[in-house]
Amino acid sequence: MQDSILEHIEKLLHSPALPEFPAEADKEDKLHAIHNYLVTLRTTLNAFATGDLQFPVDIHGVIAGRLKALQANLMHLTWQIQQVAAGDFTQRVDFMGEYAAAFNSMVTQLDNALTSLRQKEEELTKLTEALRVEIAEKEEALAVLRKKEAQFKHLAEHDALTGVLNRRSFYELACAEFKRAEEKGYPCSLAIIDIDFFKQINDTCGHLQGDDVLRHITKTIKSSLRHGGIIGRYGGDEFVVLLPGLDLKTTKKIVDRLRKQVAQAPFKTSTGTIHMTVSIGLAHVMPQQGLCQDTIFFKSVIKTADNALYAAKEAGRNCLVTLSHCAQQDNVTGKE
Amino acid sequence: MNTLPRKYAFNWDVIGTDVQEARPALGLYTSFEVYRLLQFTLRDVLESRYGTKAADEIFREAGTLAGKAFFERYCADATDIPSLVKTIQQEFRTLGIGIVRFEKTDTKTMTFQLTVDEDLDCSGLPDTSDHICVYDEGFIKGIFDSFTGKDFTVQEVDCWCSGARTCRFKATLP
Repeated sequence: MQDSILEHIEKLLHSPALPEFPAEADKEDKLHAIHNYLVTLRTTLNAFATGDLQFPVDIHGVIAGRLKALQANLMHLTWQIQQVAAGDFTQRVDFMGEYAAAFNSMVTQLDNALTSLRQKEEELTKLTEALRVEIAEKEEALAVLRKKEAQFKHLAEHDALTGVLNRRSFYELACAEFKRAEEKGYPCSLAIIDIDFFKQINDTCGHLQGDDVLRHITKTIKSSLRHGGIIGRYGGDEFVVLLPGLDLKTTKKIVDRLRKQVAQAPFKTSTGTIHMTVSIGLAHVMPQQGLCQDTIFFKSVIKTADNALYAAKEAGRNCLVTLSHCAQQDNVTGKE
Repeated sequence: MNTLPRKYAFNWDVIGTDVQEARPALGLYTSFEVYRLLQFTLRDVLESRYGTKAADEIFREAGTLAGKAFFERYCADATDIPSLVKTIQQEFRTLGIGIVRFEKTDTKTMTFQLTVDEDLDCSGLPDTSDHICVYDEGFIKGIFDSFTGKDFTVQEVDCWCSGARTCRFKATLP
């Protein structure tokens, strides 16, 4: 009997399978109590070993007390880890020996690493901000420079008084246009417009009024050339206009309309009205292969237009004289 | 509501404001046995006169009053649950009430579970298969009630006297 009881208790302690209660000891109440206690202990330990920390410990005594202490420690540790995960790095463990030291070291290192990362992030944010400010300043400076550059370019290319191209810029653009016309095979016309008796206006009304007249003439030329001719100021009271891609008939129509508009639009001043006329010399060019590639050609076209202008003045002013650049043939328009 | 004239209505002043002056030689602290002597003799008389249930209720109510006073004096600066938890842990240890460890702080459901090791009321008592920390239940309730403005139910779910080596309390809203 005693042997079977001891053997049963031994099995309860060591055997993986739960042993049957020995029938011969059925009336032994103390053995029943020990059996039940050990079965509960096995179940509780199994629950803890498989991670069920909430398993209720319903037995008493020193072993149960130790189990409950272990359970409480593990549950509190779980809570502490949850607090660390939520960002509370002040959590420290002051129980469970070696584990406590390892846990505290880990939390400290995590805290330090995160603090360091946060500092680096702050530094990076500050650097990024500083960089953004610097870029903005540089962009602002660049915008100012570009604006200035555009202003200088405009000033370098345009006549300060009238706002049209100056002679050099007109020359460059006109040369390029002649080359294009030669490649595409379309005609070009170049007109020189001279204000009749402009010196008298300067002498009688003053140079400032003369400047106003020049600006007024410029405005009239621009409004007459809506289709897109190139306008430049050639000299004191002389303007040049390049009209690409138009046949001679259309060109003459446009340029003569310009002449009429000047004559029909007197310039009103505070002291009176100034009536003006212009003489125009027009050189019509049919581009020929190889002829339009140099400056000599351009100068020769200017010469042709100049000759036509001279002829217009000889013809009594306020008229248009056309010369074919090749034929150098007079064709006076505007004189009745 | 009791309308009898009061002699012992609690506030911190009634226990003496300058303890250093009161006990210059003996100092602030006494043996925990003295604390328990007072508590258990008082329990004895209350139980003899009113029965166990009423004695427990009186103790729980006194604990709640103490918990509220404790909160006002020691936890008033707590701004959130984590800071309240830290303060409770720190002050319980400093004052020798016990070592508080939390197992659950669910602010969504307002459920809290904590253990008190080396509890001033019960650690080391004989195993009686009973839960006896009713004063602690009230004390913890007083703290949580004061902090949240809600009416908590605090129950001791495990006790030194029921074979544990720590006392476990669960605070919930009804």
